[in-house]
Amino acid sequence: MSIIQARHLTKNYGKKTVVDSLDFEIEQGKIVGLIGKNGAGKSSLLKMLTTYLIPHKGELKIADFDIYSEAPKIRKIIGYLPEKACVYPDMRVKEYLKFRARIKGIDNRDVNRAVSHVMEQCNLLPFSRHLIAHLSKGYTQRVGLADALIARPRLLLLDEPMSGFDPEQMQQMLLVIEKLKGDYTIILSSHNLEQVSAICDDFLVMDNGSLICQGSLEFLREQVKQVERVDIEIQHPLKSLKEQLKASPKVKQIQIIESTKNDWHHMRLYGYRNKTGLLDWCSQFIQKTAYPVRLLQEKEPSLDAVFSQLVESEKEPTKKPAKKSQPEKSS
Amino acid sequence: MPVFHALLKKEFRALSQAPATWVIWAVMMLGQGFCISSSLKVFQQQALIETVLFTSFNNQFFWFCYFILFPLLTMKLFAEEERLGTMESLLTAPINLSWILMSKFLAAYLWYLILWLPSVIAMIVISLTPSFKGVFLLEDVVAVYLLIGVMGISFVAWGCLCSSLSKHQVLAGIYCLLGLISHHFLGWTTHIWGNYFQASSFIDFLSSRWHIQVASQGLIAFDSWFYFVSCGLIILFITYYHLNLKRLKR
Repeated sequence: MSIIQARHLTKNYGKKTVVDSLDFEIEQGKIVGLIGKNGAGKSSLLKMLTTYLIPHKGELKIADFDIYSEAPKIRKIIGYLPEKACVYPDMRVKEYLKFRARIKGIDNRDVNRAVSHVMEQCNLLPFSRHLIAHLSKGYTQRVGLADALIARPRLLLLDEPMSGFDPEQMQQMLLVIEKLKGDYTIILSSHNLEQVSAICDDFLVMDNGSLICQGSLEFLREQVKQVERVDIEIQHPLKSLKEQLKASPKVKQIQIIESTKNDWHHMRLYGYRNKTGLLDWCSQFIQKTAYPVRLLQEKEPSLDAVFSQLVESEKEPTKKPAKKSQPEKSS
Repeated sequence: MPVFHALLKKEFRALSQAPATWVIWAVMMLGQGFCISSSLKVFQQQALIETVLFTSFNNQFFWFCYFILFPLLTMKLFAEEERLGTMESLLTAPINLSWILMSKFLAAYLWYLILWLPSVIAMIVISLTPSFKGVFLLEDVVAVYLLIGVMGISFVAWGCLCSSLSKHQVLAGIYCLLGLISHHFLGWTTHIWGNYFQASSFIDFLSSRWHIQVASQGLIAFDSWFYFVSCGLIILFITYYHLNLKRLKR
Protein backbone atom coordinates (compact mmCIF):
# COMPACT_ATOMS: atom_id res chain seq x y z
CA MET A 1 0.00 0.00 0.00
CA SER A 2 1.40 3.37 -1.03
CA ILE A 3 1.63 6.13 1.54
CA ILE A 4 2.91 8.71 -0.97
CA GLN A 5 1.72 9.12 -4.53
CA ALA A 6 3.28 11.85 -6.65
CA ARG A 7 2.33 12.60 -10.25
CA HIS A 8 4.12 15.23 -12.36
CA LEU A 9 5.18 17.02 -9.18
CA THR A 10 6.86 20.31 -10.11
CA LYS A 11 8.25 23.18 -8.09
CA ASN A 12 9.81 26.38 -9.42
CA TYR A 13 11.77 29.09 -7.64
CA GLY A 14 11.18 32.01 -9.95
CA LYS A 15 12.20 30.78 -13.39
CA LYS A 16 14.30 27.93 -12.04
CA THR A 17 12.67 24.51 -11.86
CA VAL A 18 13.96 22.76 -8.74
CA VAL A 19 11.66 19.75 -8.89
CA ASP A 20 10.79 18.70 -12.38
CA SER A 21 7.70 16.56 -13.01
CA LEU A 22 8.41 13.77 -10.52
CA ASP A 23 6.38 10.57 -10.60
CA PHE A 24 6.86 8.12 -7.78
CA GLU A 25 5.12 6.06 -5.13
CA ILE A 26 6.42 5.05 -1.73
CA GLU A 27 5.16 2.02 0.09
CA GLN A 28 4.16 2.12 3.71
CA GLY A 29 6.66 0.84 6.29
CA LYS A 30 9.76 1.22 4.14
CA ILE A 31 12.88 3.29 4.64
CA VAL A 32 13.54 5.14 1.42
CA GLY A 33 16.83 6.86 0.69
CA LEU A 34 16.46 10.09 -1.26
CA ILE A 35 19.85 10.49 -2.89
CA GLY A 36 21.20 13.43 -4.82
CA LYS A 37 23.97 15.98 -4.95
CA ASN A 38 23.57 19.38 -3.29
CA GLY A 39 20.99 21.34 -5.27
CA ALA A 40 19.42 18.21 -6.76
CA GLY A 41 16.01 19.16 -5.36
CA LYS A 42 15.87 16.77 -2.39
CA SER A 43 15.11 19.40 0.25
CA SER A 44 12.48 21.05 -1.93
CA LEU A 45 10.79 17.68 -2.47
CA LEU A 46 10.80 16.96 1.27
CA LYS A 47 9.45 20.43 2.02
CA MET A 48 6.60 19.78 -0.39
CA LEU A 49 5.88 16.51 1.41
CA THR A 50 5.65 18.46 4.67
CA THR A 51 3.21 20.92 2.99
CA TYR A 52 5.62 23.78 3.83
CA LEU A 53 6.10 24.36 0.10
CA ILE A 54 3.23 24.25 -2.34
CA PRO A 55 3.92 22.53 -5.68
CA HIS A 56 3.39 24.59 -8.80
CA LYS A 57 2.09 21.64 -10.77
CA GLY A 58 1.19 18.01 -10.29
CA GLU A 59 -0.60 15.85 -7.77
CA LEU A 60 0.63 14.78 -4.37
CA LYS A 61 -1.24 12.53 -2.00
CA ILE A 62 0.02 11.47 1.39
CA ALA A 63 -1.98 8.71 3.08
CA ASP A 64 -4.70 9.57 0.54
CA PHE A 65 -4.88 13.18 1.72
CA ASP A 66 -4.49 15.75 -1.01
CA ILE A 67 -1.73 18.30 -0.39
CA TYR A 68 -3.74 21.23 -1.76
CA SER A 69 -6.98 20.70 0.12
CA GLU A 70 -6.03 18.59 3.14
CA ALA A 71 -2.66 20.02 4.25
CA PRO A 72 -3.58 20.24 7.98
CA LYS A 73 -4.48 16.53 7.99
CA ILE A 74 -1.15 15.72 6.36
CA ARG A 75 0.76 17.74 8.98
CA LYS A 76 -0.84 15.57 11.67
CA ILE A 77 0.68 12.38 10.26
CA ILE A 78 4.18 13.56 9.41
CA GLY A 79 7.31 14.16 11.41
CA TYR A 80 9.97 16.34 9.81
CA LEU A 81 13.63 16.92 10.60
CA PRO A 82 15.17 19.67 8.44
CA GLU A 83 18.83 19.61 7.45
CA LYS A 84 19.66 22.00 10.27
CA ALA A 85 17.33 21.18 13.16
CA CYS A 86 15.26 24.32 13.70
CA VAL A 87 15.00 24.47 17.46
CA TYR A 88 14.86 27.28 20.02
CA PRO A 89 18.38 27.57 21.47
CA ASP A 90 17.17 29.31 24.63
CA MET A 91 14.95 26.38 25.65
CA ARG A 92 15.92 23.29 27.59
CA VAL A 93 15.63 19.93 25.82
CA LYS A 94 12.68 18.61 27.83
CA GLU A 95 10.91 21.94 27.83
CA TYR A 96 11.24 22.22 24.04
CA LEU A 97 9.95 18.70 23.46
CA LYS A 98 7.00 19.34 25.79
CA PHE A 99 6.16 22.48 23.82
CA ARG A 100 6.36 20.59 20.53
CA ALA A 101 4.26 17.74 21.94
CA ARG A 102 1.55 20.20 22.98
CA ILE A 103 1.43 22.00 19.64
CA LYS A 104 1.24 18.66 17.88
CA GLY A 105 -1.97 17.99 19.74
CA ILE A 106 -0.78 15.42 22.30
CA ASP A 107 -3.09 15.35 25.28
CA ASN A 108 -1.67 17.15 28.34
CA ARG A 109 -1.86 13.92 30.40
CA ASP A 110 0.28 12.07 27.82
CA VAL A 111 2.87 14.77 27.18
CA ASN A 112 5.36 13.64 29.84
CA ARG A 113 5.15 10.01 28.75
CA ALA A 114 5.62 10.92 25.07
CA VAL A 115 8.59 13.18 25.86
CA SER A 116 10.31 10.54 27.99
CA HIS A 117 9.73 7.92 25.29
CA VAL A 118 11.34 9.96 22.48
CA MET A 119 14.18 11.10 24.69
CA GLU A 120 14.93 7.46 25.40
CA GLN A 121 14.65 6.56 21.70
CA CYS A 122 17.12 9.31 20.77
CA ASN A 123 19.43 8.80 23.77
CA LEU A 124 18.67 12.26 25.13
CA LEU A 125 17.71 11.40 28.70
CA PRO A 126 21.01 12.62 30.24
CA PHE A 127 20.53 15.97 28.48
CA SER A 128 16.93 16.71 29.42
CA ARG A 129 17.84 19.77 31.54
CA HIS A 130 20.49 21.09 29.13
CA LEU A 131 19.97 24.30 27.19
CA ILE A 132 19.73 23.46 23.48
CA ALA A 133 22.27 26.22 22.75
CA HIS A 134 24.83 24.27 24.79
CA LEU A 135 24.40 20.99 22.89
CA SER A 136 26.74 19.78 20.14
CA LYS A 137 25.49 19.65 16.55
CA GLY A 138 24.89 15.90 16.82
CA TYR A 139 22.75 16.23 19.92
CA THR A 140 20.87 19.24 18.55
CA GLN A 141 20.02 17.09 15.54
CA ARG A 142 18.80 14.37 17.91
CA VAL A 143 16.53 16.90 19.60
CA GLY A 144 15.14 17.64 16.13
CA LEU A 145 14.66 13.92 15.52
CA ALA A 146 12.92 13.49 18.87
CA ASP A 147 10.63 16.36 17.89
CA ALA A 148 9.86 14.66 14.58
CA LEU A 149 9.02 11.40 16.39
CA ILE A 150 7.05 12.78 19.30
CA ALA A 151 3.56 12.53 17.86
CA ARG A 152 4.26 9.03 16.48
CA PRO A 153 3.87 10.10 12.85
CA ARG A 154 3.08 7.63 10.07
CA LEU A 155 5.62 9.28 7.80
CA LEU A 156 9.02 10.50 8.94
CA LEU A 157 10.92 12.90 6.69
CA LEU A 158 14.60 13.32 7.50
CA ASP A 159 16.51 15.86 5.46
CA GLU A 160 20.23 15.04 5.55
CA PRO A 161 20.11 14.24 9.27
CA MET A 162 23.82 13.46 9.34
CA SER A 163 25.17 16.38 7.40
CA GLY A 164 28.32 17.80 9.01
CA PHE A 165 28.65 14.84 11.42
CA ASP A 166 31.91 13.08 12.24
CA PRO A 167 31.94 9.30 11.52
CA GLU A 168 31.09 8.41 15.13
CA GLN A 169 28.13 10.77 15.31
CA MET A 170 27.00 9.47 11.93
CA GLN A 171 27.12 5.90 13.14
CA GLN A 172 25.15 6.77 16.27
CA MET A 173 22.49 8.59 14.25
CA LEU A 174 22.20 5.66 11.83
CA LEU A 175 21.70 3.34 14.80
CA VAL A 176 18.93 5.56 16.14
CA ILE A 177 17.22 5.63 12.72
CA GLU A 178 17.69 1.90 12.25
CA LYS A 179 15.85 1.25 15.52
CA LEU A 180 12.82 3.01 14.03
CA LYS A 181 12.65 0.57 11.13
CA GLY A 182 9.30 -1.15 10.87
CA ASP A 183 7.40 1.36 13.00
CA TYR A 184 7.49 4.23 10.52
CA THR A 185 7.71 4.96 6.83
CA ILE A 186 10.91 6.96 6.58
CA ILE A 187 12.31 9.10 3.80
CA LEU A 188 15.95 9.80 4.47
CA SER A 189 17.72 12.26 2.21
CA SER A 190 21.46 12.20 1.76
CA HIS A 191 24.08 13.05 -0.82
CA ASN A 192 26.01 9.96 0.18
CA LEU A 193 24.53 6.72 -1.11
CA GLU A 194 27.12 4.55 0.63
CA GLN A 195 26.28 6.12 3.98
CA VAL A 196 22.59 5.22 3.98
CA SER A 197 22.66 2.03 1.90
CA ALA A 198 22.80 -0.16 5.02
CA ILE A 199 19.46 0.99 6.39
CA CYS A 200 17.37 1.85 3.32
CA ASP A 201 15.04 -0.57 1.54
CA ASP A 202 14.53 1.55 -1.57
CA PHE A 203 16.17 4.53 -3.19
CA LEU A 204 15.11 7.54 -5.17
CA VAL A 205 18.05 9.12 -6.97
CA MET A 206 17.62 12.75 -8.00
CA ASP A 207 19.64 15.12 -10.09
CA ASN A 208 18.76 18.61 -11.29
CA GLY A 209 15.22 18.24 -9.98
CA SER A 210 14.55 15.02 -11.90
CA LEU A 211 14.26 11.45 -10.71
CA ILE A 212 17.01 9.54 -12.47
CA CYS A 213 16.75 6.18 -10.78
CA GLN A 214 14.33 4.43 -8.48
CA GLY A 215 14.67 0.97 -7.00
CA SER A 216 15.95 -1.32 -4.30
CA LEU A 217 19.54 -1.76 -3.20
CA GLU A 218 19.76 -4.92 -5.34
CA PHE A 219 18.71 -2.90 -8.35
CA LEU A 220 21.40 -0.34 -7.61
CA ARG A 221 23.94 -3.12 -7.20
CA GLU A 222 22.94 -4.31 -10.68
CA GLN A 223 23.86 -0.85 -11.85
CA VAL A 224 27.20 -1.29 -10.06
CA LYS A 225 27.90 -4.38 -12.14
CA GLN A 226 27.52 -2.32 -15.27
CA VAL A 227 30.23 0.05 -14.09
CA GLU A 228 33.98 -0.58 -14.19
CA ARG A 229 36.60 1.22 -12.15
CA VAL A 230 40.32 1.29 -12.79
CA ASP A 231 42.91 2.99 -10.59
CA ILE A 232 45.98 4.21 -12.42
CA GLU A 233 49.12 6.12 -11.42
CA ILE A 234 50.64 7.71 -14.48
CA GLN A 235 53.22 10.42 -15.28
CA HIS A 236 52.36 13.05 -17.85
CA PRO A 237 51.17 16.70 -17.83
CA LEU A 238 47.64 16.61 -16.43
CA LYS A 239 45.88 18.74 -19.02
CA SER A 240 47.08 16.74 -21.99
CA LEU A 241 46.49 13.45 -20.18
CA LYS A 242 42.91 14.36 -19.36
CA GLU A 243 42.26 15.41 -22.94
CA GLN A 244 43.52 12.10 -24.26
CA LEU A 245 41.48 10.08 -21.76
CA LYS A 246 38.34 12.11 -22.34
CA ALA A 247 38.66 11.60 -26.08
CA SER A 248 38.05 7.89 -25.59
CA PRO A 249 34.39 6.73 -25.59
CA LYS A 250 35.41 4.02 -23.14
CA VAL A 251 36.23 6.42 -20.26
CA LYS A 252 33.05 7.96 -18.83
CA GLN A 253 34.45 9.72 -15.81
CA ILE A 254 37.85 10.73 -14.48
CA GLN A 255 38.54 11.36 -10.83
CA ILE A 256 41.91 12.79 -9.76
CA ILE A 257 42.88 11.27 -6.42
CA GLU A 258 46.31 12.85 -6.05
CA SER A 259 48.80 14.82 -8.15
CA THR A 260 52.49 15.48 -7.46
CA LYS A 261 54.73 18.30 -8.70
CA ASN A 262 56.64 16.00 -11.03
CA ASP A 263 53.41 15.20 -12.90
CA TRP A 264 52.59 11.89 -11.31
CA HIS A 265 48.81 11.53 -11.08
CA HIS A 266 46.75 8.98 -9.23
CA MET A 267 43.51 8.75 -11.22
CA ARG A 268 40.32 6.77 -10.94
CA LEU A 269 38.65 5.99 -14.26
CA TYR A 270 35.06 4.83 -14.68
CA GLY A 271 33.37 3.24 -17.68
CA TYR A 272 30.45 0.96 -18.58
CA ARG A 273 31.18 -2.73 -18.92
CA ASN A 274 31.08 -4.06 -22.48
CA LYS A 275 33.15 -6.29 -24.77
CA THR A 276 36.47 -4.46 -24.33
CA GLY A 277 37.17 -4.01 -20.63
CA LEU A 278 38.35 -0.67 -19.26
CA LEU A 279 41.49 -2.36 -17.90
CA ASP A 280 42.34 -3.74 -21.37
CA TRP A 281 41.79 -0.35 -22.89
CA CYS A 282 44.11 1.25 -20.29
CA SER A 283 46.86 -1.34 -21.03
CA GLN A 284 46.60 -0.54 -24.74
CA PHE A 285 46.69 3.19 -23.96
CA ILE A 286 49.88 2.78 -21.88
CA GLN A 287 51.57 0.69 -24.57
CA LYS A 288 50.63 3.21 -27.27
CA THR A 289 51.71 6.34 -25.39
CA ALA A 290 54.58 4.80 -23.40
CA TYR A 291 53.89 7.10 -20.44
CA PRO A 292 55.49 5.87 -17.18
CA VAL A 293 53.01 3.96 -15.01
CA ARG A 294 53.34 2.87 -11.37
CA LEU A 295 49.89 1.37 -10.79
CA LEU A 296 47.16 -0.16 -12.91
CA GLN A 297 44.46 -1.96 -11.01
CA GLU A 298 40.79 -2.84 -11.54
CA LYS A 299 38.53 -2.26 -8.51
CA GLU A 300 34.88 -2.83 -7.63
CA PRO A 301 33.13 0.55 -7.88
CA SER A 302 31.37 1.90 -4.83
CA LEU A 303 27.66 2.77 -4.72
CA ASP A 304 28.60 6.42 -4.79
CA ALA A 305 30.53 5.86 -7.99
CA VAL A 306 27.38 4.36 -9.46
CA PHE A 307 25.43 7.35 -8.30
CA SER A 308 27.97 9.64 -9.98
CA GLN A 309 27.73 7.53 -13.14
CA LEU A 310 23.93 7.75 -13.12
CA VAL A 311 24.13 11.52 -12.78
CA GLU A 312 26.75 11.78 -15.53
CA SER A 313 24.82 9.55 -17.93
CA GLU A 314 21.70 11.65 -17.33
CA LYS A 315 23.63 14.67 -18.58
CA GLU A 316 24.72 12.72 -21.70
CA PRO A 317 21.61 10.99 -23.04
CA THR A 318 23.49 9.01 -25.68
CA LYS A 319 25.62 7.28 -23.04
CA LYS A 320 22.65 6.49 -20.81
CA PRO A 321 22.19 2.90 -19.65
CA ALA A 322 18.98 1.37 -20.94
CA LYS A 323 17.16 0.71 -17.68
CA LYS A 324 17.06 3.00 -14.66
CA SER A 325 13.78 2.23 -13.01
CA GLN A 326 13.18 -1.05 -11.30
CA PRO A 327 10.42 -3.04 -13.02
CA GLU A 328 7.40 -3.61 -10.79
CA LYS A 329 7.10 -7.05 -9.28
CA SER A 330 4.29 -9.10 -10.81
CA SER A 331 1.77 -10.18 -8.25
CA MET B 1 -7.31 25.64 22.85
CA PRO B 2 -4.47 23.67 24.56
CA VAL B 3 -2.41 24.19 21.42
CA PHE B 4 -3.01 27.96 21.46
CA HIS B 5 -2.28 28.03 25.18
CA ALA B 6 1.06 26.26 24.57
CA LEU B 7 1.98 28.77 21.85
CA LEU B 8 0.99 31.74 24.01
CA LYS B 9 2.92 30.41 26.99
CA LYS B 10 6.04 29.92 24.88
CA GLU B 11 5.82 33.43 23.42
CA PHE B 12 5.19 35.03 26.81
CA ARG B 13 8.13 33.16 28.28
CA ALA B 14 10.38 34.14 25.37
CA LEU B 15 9.54 37.81 25.95
CA SER B 16 10.08 37.52 29.68
CA GLN B 17 13.57 36.10 29.04
CA ALA B 18 14.49 38.74 26.47
CA PRO B 19 16.86 41.40 27.88
CA ALA B 20 15.08 44.01 25.73
CA THR B 21 11.89 43.54 27.77
CA TRP B 22 13.67 44.35 31.01
CA VAL B 23 15.45 47.31 29.41
CA ILE B 24 12.08 48.72 28.36
CA TRP B 25 10.66 48.10 31.80
CA ALA B 26 13.54 50.00 33.41
CA VAL B 27 13.22 52.88 30.95
CA MET B 28 9.44 52.95 31.37
CA MET B 29 9.67 53.05 35.17
CA LEU B 30 12.32 55.76 35.13
CA GLY B 31 10.54 57.77 32.42
CA GLN B 32 7.10 57.50 33.94
CA GLY B 33 8.44 58.13 37.43
CA PHE B 34 10.16 61.25 36.18
CA CYS B 35 7.05 62.48 34.32
CA ILE B 36 4.73 62.02 37.31
CA SER B 37 7.12 63.35 39.93
CA SER B 38 8.08 66.45 37.91
CA SER B 39 4.39 67.18 37.26
CA LEU B 40 3.67 66.85 40.99
CA LYS B 41 6.60 69.08 41.87
CA VAL B 42 5.34 71.81 39.54
CA PHE B 43 1.84 71.35 40.96
CA GLN B 44 3.13 71.90 44.50
CA GLN B 45 5.12 74.99 43.55
CA GLN B 46 2.71 76.84 41.30
CA ALA B 47 -0.78 76.65 39.94
CA LEU B 48 -1.02 74.73 36.68
CA ILE B 49 -3.19 75.68 33.77
CA GLU B 50 -3.55 72.03 32.82
CA THR B 51 -4.12 69.14 35.21
CA VAL B 52 -1.23 67.07 36.58
CA LEU B 53 -2.55 64.08 34.67
CA PHE B 54 -2.50 66.07 31.43
CA THR B 55 1.11 67.22 31.91
CA SER B 56 2.18 63.69 32.92
CA PHE B 57 1.02 62.28 29.62
CA ASN B 58 1.79 65.17 27.31
CA ASN B 59 5.53 65.60 27.53
CA GLN B 60 8.54 64.37 25.58
CA PHE B 61 9.48 61.73 28.16
CA PHE B 62 6.14 60.00 27.83
CA TRP B 63 6.46 59.89 24.03
CA PHE B 64 10.08 58.76 24.23
CA CYS B 65 8.97 55.77 26.33
CA TYR B 66 6.12 55.14 23.94
CA PHE B 67 8.38 55.12 20.88
CA ILE B 68 10.97 52.72 22.22
CA LEU B 69 8.44 50.41 23.83
CA PHE B 70 6.81 48.96 20.71
CA PRO B 71 9.92 48.34 18.57
CA LEU B 72 11.81 46.68 21.45
CA LEU B 73 8.84 44.57 22.45
CA THR B 74 7.84 43.36 19.00
CA MET B 75 10.93 43.36 16.76
CA LYS B 76 11.87 39.76 17.61
CA LEU B 77 8.46 38.18 17.21
CA PHE B 78 8.67 36.97 13.60
CA ALA B 79 12.15 38.20 12.61
CA GLU B 80 13.82 35.89 15.13
CA GLU B 81 11.73 32.89 13.98
CA GLU B 82 12.81 33.55 10.41
CA ARG B 83 16.45 33.94 11.40
CA LEU B 84 16.51 30.70 13.40
CA GLY B 85 14.45 28.85 10.80
CA THR B 86 11.93 27.88 13.48
CA MET B 87 9.08 29.30 11.42
CA GLU B 88 9.51 26.24 9.21
CA SER B 89 9.07 23.87 12.13
CA LEU B 90 6.03 25.82 13.33
CA LEU B 91 4.44 25.75 9.89
CA THR B 92 5.03 22.01 9.46
CA ALA B 93 3.27 21.29 12.77
CA PRO B 94 -0.51 20.83 12.70
CA ILE B 95 -1.27 24.43 13.72
CA ASN B 96 -2.82 27.38 11.91
CA LEU B 97 -0.86 30.42 10.90
CA SER B 98 -3.53 32.56 12.60
CA TRP B 99 -2.77 30.85 15.94
CA ILE B 100 0.91 31.63 15.56
CA LEU B 101 0.12 35.27 14.81
CA MET B 102 -2.43 35.66 17.60
CA SER B 103 -0.20 33.99 20.19
CA LYS B 104 2.66 36.36 19.34
CA PHE B 105 0.37 39.37 19.33
CA LEU B 106 -1.30 38.46 22.63
CA ALA B 107 1.99 37.69 24.39
CA ALA B 108 3.43 41.06 23.33
CA TYR B 109 0.19 42.81 24.26
CA LEU B 110 0.11 41.21 27.70
CA TRP B 111 3.68 42.36 28.26
CA TYR B 112 2.71 45.82 27.07
CA LEU B 113 0.01 45.93 29.74
CA ILE B 114 2.39 44.61 32.39
CA LEU B 115 4.91 47.34 31.53
CA TRP B 116 2.34 50.02 32.38
CA LEU B 117 1.39 48.37 35.66
CA PRO B 118 3.94 50.15 37.91
CA SER B 119 2.81 53.52 36.61
CA VAL B 120 -0.89 52.61 37.14
CA ILE B 121 -0.12 51.56 40.70
CA ALA B 122 1.82 54.79 41.30
CA MET B 123 -1.10 56.86 39.99
CA ILE B 124 -3.62 55.04 42.18
CA VAL B 125 -1.41 55.36 45.26
CA ILE B 126 -0.92 59.08 44.62
CA SER B 127 -4.62 59.67 44.06
CA LEU B 128 -5.38 57.93 47.37
CA THR B 129 -2.63 59.78 49.30
CA PRO B 130 -4.18 62.52 51.52
CA SER B 131 -1.42 65.09 50.79
CA PHE B 132 -2.15 64.82 47.08
CA LYS B 133 -5.88 64.76 47.48
CA GLY B 134 -7.55 66.19 44.41
CA VAL B 135 -4.45 66.04 42.23
CA PHE B 136 -5.87 63.18 40.20
CA LEU B 137 -9.37 61.95 40.01
CA LEU B 138 -9.46 58.17 39.92
CA GLU B 139 -11.94 58.27 37.01
CA ASP B 140 -9.51 60.37 34.96
CA VAL B 141 -6.69 57.93 35.68
CA VAL B 142 -8.93 55.05 34.57
CA ALA B 143 -9.85 56.92 31.37
CA VAL B 144 -6.25 57.58 30.34
CA TYR B 145 -5.02 54.06 31.11
CA LEU B 146 -7.94 52.48 29.33
CA LEU B 147 -6.99 54.48 26.26
CA ILE B 148 -3.33 53.50 26.61
CA GLY B 149 -4.48 49.88 26.78
CA VAL B 150 -6.60 50.24 23.65
CA MET B 151 -3.85 52.13 21.78
CA GLY B 152 -1.55 49.22 22.47
CA ILE B 153 -3.73 46.95 20.34
CA SER B 154 -2.96 48.85 17.16
CA PHE B 155 0.70 49.58 17.90
CA VAL B 156 1.55 46.02 19.00
CA ALA B 157 -0.18 44.85 15.81
CA TRP B 158 1.97 47.34 13.88
CA GLY B 159 5.07 45.89 15.55
CA CYS B 160 3.97 42.37 14.54
CA LEU B 161 3.61 43.50 10.92
CA CYS B 162 7.06 45.16 10.93
CA SER B 163 8.64 42.07 12.47
CA SER B 164 7.17 39.90 9.71
CA LEU B 165 8.73 42.13 7.04
CA SER B 166 12.35 41.29 7.79
CA LYS B 167 14.45 38.54 9.30
CA HIS B 168 16.71 41.14 10.88
CA GLN B 169 15.18 42.23 14.14
CA VAL B 170 16.98 45.58 14.16
CA LEU B 171 15.55 46.40 10.75
CA ALA B 172 12.10 45.34 11.96
CA GLY B 173 12.54 47.63 14.97
CA ILE B 174 13.51 50.54 12.70
CA TYR B 175 10.43 50.00 10.50
CA CYS B 176 8.28 50.01 13.61
CA LEU B 177 9.89 53.16 15.00
CA LEU B 178 9.57 55.01 11.68
CA GLY B 179 5.87 54.13 11.51
CA LEU B 180 5.27 55.31 15.07
CA ILE B 181 7.13 58.59 14.56
CA SER B 182 5.24 59.28 11.31
CA HIS B 183 1.96 58.54 13.03
CA HIS B 184 2.83 60.76 15.98
CA PHE B 185 3.87 63.67 13.81
CA LEU B 186 0.52 63.62 12.03
CA GLY B 187 -0.69 65.27 15.20
CA TRP B 188 1.81 68.09 14.80
CA THR B 189 0.61 68.94 11.28
CA THR B 190 -2.20 71.14 12.50
CA HIS B 191 0.03 72.54 15.22
CA ILE B 192 2.61 73.65 12.64
CA TRP B 193 0.39 74.71 9.72
CA GLY B 194 -2.67 75.72 11.72
CA ASN B 195 -6.08 74.10 11.67
CA TYR B 196 -7.57 76.19 8.89
CA PHE B 197 -7.71 73.51 6.20
CA GLN B 198 -10.66 71.17 5.82
CA ALA B 199 -8.99 67.90 6.80
CA SER B 200 -7.30 69.31 9.92
CA SER B 201 -9.71 67.77 12.42
CA PHE B 202 -9.52 64.43 10.60
CA ILE B 203 -5.70 64.49 10.68
CA ASP B 204 -5.84 65.36 14.38
CA PHE B 205 -8.08 62.39 14.94
CA LEU B 206 -5.62 60.05 13.20
CA SER B 207 -2.72 60.94 15.50
CA SER B 208 -2.25 59.27 18.87
CA ARG B 209 -1.25 62.62 20.42
CA TRP B 210 -4.76 64.01 20.07
CA HIS B 211 -6.36 60.93 21.65
CA ILE B 212 -3.98 61.04 24.63
CA GLN B 213 -4.77 64.72 25.13
CA VAL B 214 -8.49 63.96 25.19
CA ALA B 215 -8.15 61.00 27.54
CA SER B 216 -5.81 62.81 29.94
CA GLN B 217 -8.59 65.34 30.49
CA GLY B 218 -10.58 62.46 31.94
CA LEU B 219 -12.80 61.89 28.91
CA ILE B 220 -13.63 58.36 27.82
CA ALA B 221 -13.93 58.67 24.05
CA PHE B 222 -15.41 55.56 22.48
CA ASP B 223 -14.57 56.82 18.99
CA SER B 224 -10.87 56.63 20.04
CA TRP B 225 -11.36 53.07 21.21
CA PHE B 226 -13.12 52.14 17.99
CA TYR B 227 -10.35 53.79 15.96
CA PHE B 228 -7.47 51.96 17.67
CA VAL B 229 -9.20 48.58 17.90
CA SER B 230 -10.21 48.64 14.23
CA CYS B 231 -6.72 49.79 13.18
CA GLY B 232 -5.25 46.93 15.21
CA LEU B 233 -7.54 44.36 13.61
CA ILE B 234 -6.82 45.65 10.11
CA ILE B 235 -3.05 45.56 10.70
CA LEU B 236 -3.31 42.03 12.13
CA PHE B 237 -5.24 40.95 9.06
CA ILE B 238 -2.57 42.48 6.79
CA THR B 239 0.14 40.69 8.80
CA TYR B 240 -1.68 37.38 8.41
CA TYR B 241 -2.14 37.97 4.71
CA HIS B 242 1.53 38.91 4.30
CA LEU B 243 2.80 35.85 6.21
CA ASN B 244 0.54 33.56 4.22
CA LEU B 245 1.64 35.10 0.94
CA LYS B 246 5.29 34.72 1.97
CA ARG B 247 4.65 31.03 2.68
CA LEU B 248 2.92 30.48 -0.65
CA LYS B 249 5.65 32.33 -2.55
CA ARG B 250 8.46 30.18 -1.15
